[in-house]
Amino acid sequence: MIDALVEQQRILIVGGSGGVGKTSISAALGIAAAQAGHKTLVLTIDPARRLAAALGLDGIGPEAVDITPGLTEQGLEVPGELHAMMLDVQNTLDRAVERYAPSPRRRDQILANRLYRNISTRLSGSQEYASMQRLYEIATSGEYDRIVLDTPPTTHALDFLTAPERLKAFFDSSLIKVFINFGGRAGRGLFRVSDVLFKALNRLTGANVIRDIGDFFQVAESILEPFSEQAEQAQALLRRPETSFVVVTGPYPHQLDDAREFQSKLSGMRIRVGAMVVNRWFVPLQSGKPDLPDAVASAELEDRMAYWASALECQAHEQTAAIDQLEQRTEVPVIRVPELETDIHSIEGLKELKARLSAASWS
Amino acid sequence: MVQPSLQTRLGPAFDRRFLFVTGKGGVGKSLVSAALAVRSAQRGQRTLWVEMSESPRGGYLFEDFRPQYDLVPVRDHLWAMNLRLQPAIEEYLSVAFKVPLVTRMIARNSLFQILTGALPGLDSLIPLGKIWYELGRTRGRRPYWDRIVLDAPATGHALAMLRFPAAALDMVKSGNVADRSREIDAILGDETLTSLIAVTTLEELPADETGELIGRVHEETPYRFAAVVCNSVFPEIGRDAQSRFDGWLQGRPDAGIDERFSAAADKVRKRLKWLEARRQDQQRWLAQLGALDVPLTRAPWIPATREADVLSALVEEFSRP
Repeated sequence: MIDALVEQQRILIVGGSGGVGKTSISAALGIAAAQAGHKTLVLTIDPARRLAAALGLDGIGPEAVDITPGLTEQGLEVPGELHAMMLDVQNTLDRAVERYAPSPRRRDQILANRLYRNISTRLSGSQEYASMQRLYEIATSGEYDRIVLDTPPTTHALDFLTAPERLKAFFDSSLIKVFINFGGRAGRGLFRVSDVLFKALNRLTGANVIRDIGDFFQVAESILEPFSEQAEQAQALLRRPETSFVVVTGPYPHQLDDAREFQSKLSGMRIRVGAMVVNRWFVPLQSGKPDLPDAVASAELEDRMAYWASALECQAHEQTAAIDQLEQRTEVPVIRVPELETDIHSIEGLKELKARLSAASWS
Repeated sequence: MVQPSLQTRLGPAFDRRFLFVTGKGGVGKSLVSAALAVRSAQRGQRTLWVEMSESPRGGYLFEDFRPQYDLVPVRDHLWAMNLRLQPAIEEYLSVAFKVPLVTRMIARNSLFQILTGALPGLDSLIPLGKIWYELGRTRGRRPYWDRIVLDAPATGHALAMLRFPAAALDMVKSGNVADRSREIDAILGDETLTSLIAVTTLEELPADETGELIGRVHEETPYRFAAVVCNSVFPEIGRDAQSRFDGWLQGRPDAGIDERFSAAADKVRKRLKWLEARRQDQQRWLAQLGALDVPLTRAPWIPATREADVLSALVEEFSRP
């Protein structure tokens, strides 16, 4: 199943709530694509140290690194190439400013502006914006046959999608003109409303902040057009036939509900969802759900063993029922990845994960 | 290696009036904070549980409950609210500036909404200001709330919130924001009133992030964490019979165990081997957290699927004498 997805789609965007294993799944998808002979890039953000070490990613920066030799050394057959890149948010935004600034003077003004420093590191959505921006750059460069984007670890998966729009709205010129004119106080009418607004803001924050914002917007005006065009193009990339989302989720009912909601919102936005991956599923070992014995704190070893073995088996059955239900409610293929026995943060673990992703059939 | 001790009993830090609970996304921060709130309410104390989320978990944790900005009774002695930024800003403006009529227009104005995203600190000031207000409310001579449990945002935003009072006072010395910042600082800095609590799981990324958060808060602010709650701690099934248990898991015959499980022995072994391996993984992160010098509390892994069931089981664990 996953092999077909890797074969058909050039860009795979791996999304889902935090803590469900997006980065591992992204790495496994990258390995699958490279093993199928493609020149592949995995763009990730802040992977676990052990996973980074397993992939030979320790200490790499915003430039792509070819990790194929390391994989081959560890006994993985890779006919294609696997490259990896860590997203650097500040660096990506700075480069966008450098590219679009009309003059070196303007560029320096923006980069030195206090509000810009604040926005680029703190504004919610900037991580997501930067990762879309980077994806767009890489996709248009044509350097890779396959790109796997591991989305930022936001709690709410949809943040990733609305972020570019939020930033675009932020940079929308008609709104910003209000601010630019605030300095000169040109015009009336419309500005009567904003005067009230500025008064409230001033009282709330102190005048310096308002002046900073005014300064920022004045220097930033020159790069607004290319910035919003850019955001629009990046958004359009999400809807291209070559792009597909892979929604990763955990096996618990609330996680499955979240994933289902995410998937239907994506579909509503006409964004393709190629698969939903249910990660870390406990596979039932017995045919029926056992009764849970009442011995969680027993003095006898056998009683405690019986309790915990049954408790895990019960979980397996409940998770399975919830996944079955999800499957009935969605048209998107659901891939079940059983909880692995090996350590996931190793090449062995990733190999195993990749094998399980490939083995899972359309269901 | 000497393991730091993990207590299941909740120490005095959990009895303070304001519990600020943070942690990396996905570690069970909402669950643990809700369990602390329910435990408090079950002891007859008027408790307010405050979520701060665009996708609140309260509806999963409590049956027949819909998270919303307004205070809603959840069960005996327990109320809950979802402190979303925009309604909080509307309320703040109307209370602080007494401009109720214009308030709605301003707060709903999209430019204002965008600006609040750009103004550093507004998303810290407003929620903490609301908590300050609720802590100060009285009914007769008694406080309106015996306890407020804040399910604070994840680590990054939580750090910004804790840095906020000092940062704001650096920028403005007088006026509404400065006054509010001093009040918030007084609350966060009062160790008889407030406990900062970090929730983590015993895994690499959460343990690292928790260490970094606590390190930075202790370095960059005058506040200190009172407790770390380790969530989803796997059970120690072997206990005093650990070597017998290990031996059987490795394949050594054991008359007692083999007889008990007979035909199902292989399945039981497979399950418990997995569990024991995960438990041992957890120990290394426990050792790392032990170095933080903040008391560690254990929230056991609950083998239930529905969040409401997990919550009741965790409350029961927390309430054990």
